[in-house]
Amino acid sequence: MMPENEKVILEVEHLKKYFPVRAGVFKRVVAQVQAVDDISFKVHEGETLGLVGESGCGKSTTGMTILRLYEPTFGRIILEEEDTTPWFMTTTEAKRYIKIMYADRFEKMKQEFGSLDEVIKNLNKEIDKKYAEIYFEQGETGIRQDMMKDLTEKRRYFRKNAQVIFQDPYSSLNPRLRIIEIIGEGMKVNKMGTNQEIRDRVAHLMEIVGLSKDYIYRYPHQFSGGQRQRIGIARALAVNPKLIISDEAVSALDVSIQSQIINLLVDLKNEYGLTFVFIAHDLAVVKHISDKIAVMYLGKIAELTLKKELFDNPLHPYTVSLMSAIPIPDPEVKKKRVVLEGDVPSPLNPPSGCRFHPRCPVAKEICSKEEPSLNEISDNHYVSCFFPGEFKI
Amino acid sequence: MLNNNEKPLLKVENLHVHFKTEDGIIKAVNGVSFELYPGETLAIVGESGSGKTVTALSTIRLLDENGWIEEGKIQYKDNDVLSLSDNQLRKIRGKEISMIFQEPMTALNPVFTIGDQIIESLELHLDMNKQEARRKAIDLLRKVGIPEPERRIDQYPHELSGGMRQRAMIAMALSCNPSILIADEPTTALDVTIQAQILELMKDLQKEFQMSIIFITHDLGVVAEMADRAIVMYGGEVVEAADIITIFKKPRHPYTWGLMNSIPRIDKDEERLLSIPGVVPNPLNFPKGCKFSNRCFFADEKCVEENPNLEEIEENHFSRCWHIDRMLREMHKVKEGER
Repeated sequence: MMPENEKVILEVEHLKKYFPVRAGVFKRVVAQVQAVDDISFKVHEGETLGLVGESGCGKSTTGMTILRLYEPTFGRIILEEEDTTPWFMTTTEAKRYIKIMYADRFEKMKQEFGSLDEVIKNLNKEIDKKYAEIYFEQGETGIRQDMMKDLTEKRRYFRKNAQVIFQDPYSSLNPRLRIIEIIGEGMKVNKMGTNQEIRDRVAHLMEIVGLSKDYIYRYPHQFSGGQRQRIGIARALAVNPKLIISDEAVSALDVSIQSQIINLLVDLKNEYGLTFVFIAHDLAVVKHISDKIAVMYLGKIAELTLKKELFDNPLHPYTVSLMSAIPIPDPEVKKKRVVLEGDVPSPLNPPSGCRFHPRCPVAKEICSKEEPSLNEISDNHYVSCFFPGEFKI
Repeated sequence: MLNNNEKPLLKVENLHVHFKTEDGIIKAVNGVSFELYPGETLAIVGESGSGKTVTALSTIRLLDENGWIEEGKIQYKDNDVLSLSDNQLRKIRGKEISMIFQEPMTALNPVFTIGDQIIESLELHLDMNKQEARRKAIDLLRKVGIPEPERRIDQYPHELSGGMRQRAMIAMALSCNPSILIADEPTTALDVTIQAQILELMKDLQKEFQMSIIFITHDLGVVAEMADRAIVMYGGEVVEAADIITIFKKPRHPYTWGLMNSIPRIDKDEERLLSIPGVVPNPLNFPKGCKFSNRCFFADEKCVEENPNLEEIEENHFSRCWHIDRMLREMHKVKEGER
């Protein structure tokens, strides 16, 4: 398992994504769907974080927000020591973001601690230290200049380094492009070589993902679902990204094809030290591929820990119930099962207090009143529950 | 549960189903035979294109317009299903043999309330009057675990969640006390915690209504949990059939064995999954011998040339393979080699 001092590739802090619900003649915002509500996690180099949960838990929204296919409502997304959050914002939004995230915070700390040195000493993150120094030398404009200069380049850098593999291999490949164009486009945009070099690399990538390089001039419709998913994987790998987000990449595939793709992902991960955020609803698949797993429920992380720890010692009642709900392919294992009552509530109007309390088998009074925070119960094991470990089967 | 002294409720013999398409005639089901006994759950397992759904739909002659039963015999109780008139068939379909589908949203009619749809079948099949039927419908909704059935009965399908819709569909299917329920991937579109609810519900209702279930699924976990017996299909043929313990503990067909070892599991730490090479071929060009020969770890020329028969290799355990011995000898090596 990855040691703690390993390089952090992705850090997500207090990420929120609300979708406004509009109604009436003037399309006023009448409510907010709290799809992702204040989640934080880190992914180290070479590590795979699994995001697992049922529909509506916000796992895909999390992935899409990290990729900035959705603009986050709140929070900070750091890719390898760089705050990428304002890169895709409008100037006004970015200005507001920098004021709230940095200027106001540093100003408050300055009043609290007095000197600049003390402020910097009290900041843990390199990125905060860097911007605190800039702030105290050049003010808010300094931070803005540093963050917002060369935006086109920064955006391209981000797009190159955060790649995605989608669920549906049919709609995620452009039917009018040949495979060489699909896989090679990113390299072309990022000027990663001459046409000849790009073609050689595409051929090489196709062999890596298990496709014959003879197919390089074919179109997507000439491939089966599993082969298309291989093309999607090759496309993601082509630009040597720092991070790959895979959103239900194997869910649409038949069992025998699914295992081929899972094995391919595991091989690639081991061979090239890839860093993954692996989003899926199937806990068994997530378990197979991840080092660390975050179980999500209604826009929040219920439990986050290393894979082995999660399965040996699940502490959140939702994790325990989820595991017990999965049918085991062994007719002689008659397992005890908790059948959770009811459906997942709507994120439009989430329950008060702990969002799981209406379905929780061990909920007490406090659970409907206060919201538990994600606490580190033991080393590297985070649980958001007032009574961790109380529910066992 | 398997009881050979009892007469089967449903008996399918040598079923062949063909479809006409632009590219030619697709032989979707090729000589499938099985029996369903009272009170048992029979799983039909297979991947997409294996013919599992078509097989089940054929038993009540529910095929698309371009499909037909080319050959075979289907006997339900004392009826020869294939020679029944449409009127006679209608008395069985939906009443004695009913179905639930994967996607309740497409199977339910969106412009009628769920009450209307249940009441319709009660009026039609059981000759109830409106009030009686409504009372019975509320009863059924309560039985399938829908809270506040008096209110829910007047709601439209889109007002219900996925799990509730599936419950409503089950209520509809059970309205006439069917003796056979055909369940086509009924939990595939549901979340696992909801799937657990529906599976429990189906088990309870099966006991209460004493019905037989044909459970079509690709999920081996669900099979292990629900079924008494299973038939495994590949390329429109049955490749293996046995009781559930035997199928899981002693698979004797390379495809069954491959499937079992290719799924990630939460109860085991496997280093690497076995992966069956290749893809299911287009139904128009399956290999001419054994359908699985081009993906099989143990195949040789004989397999490519000649399709083996489904043989009874031990009591009530059937397999369609030339090389069971070789598979048993080499399966560990194959698994190691994969690692």
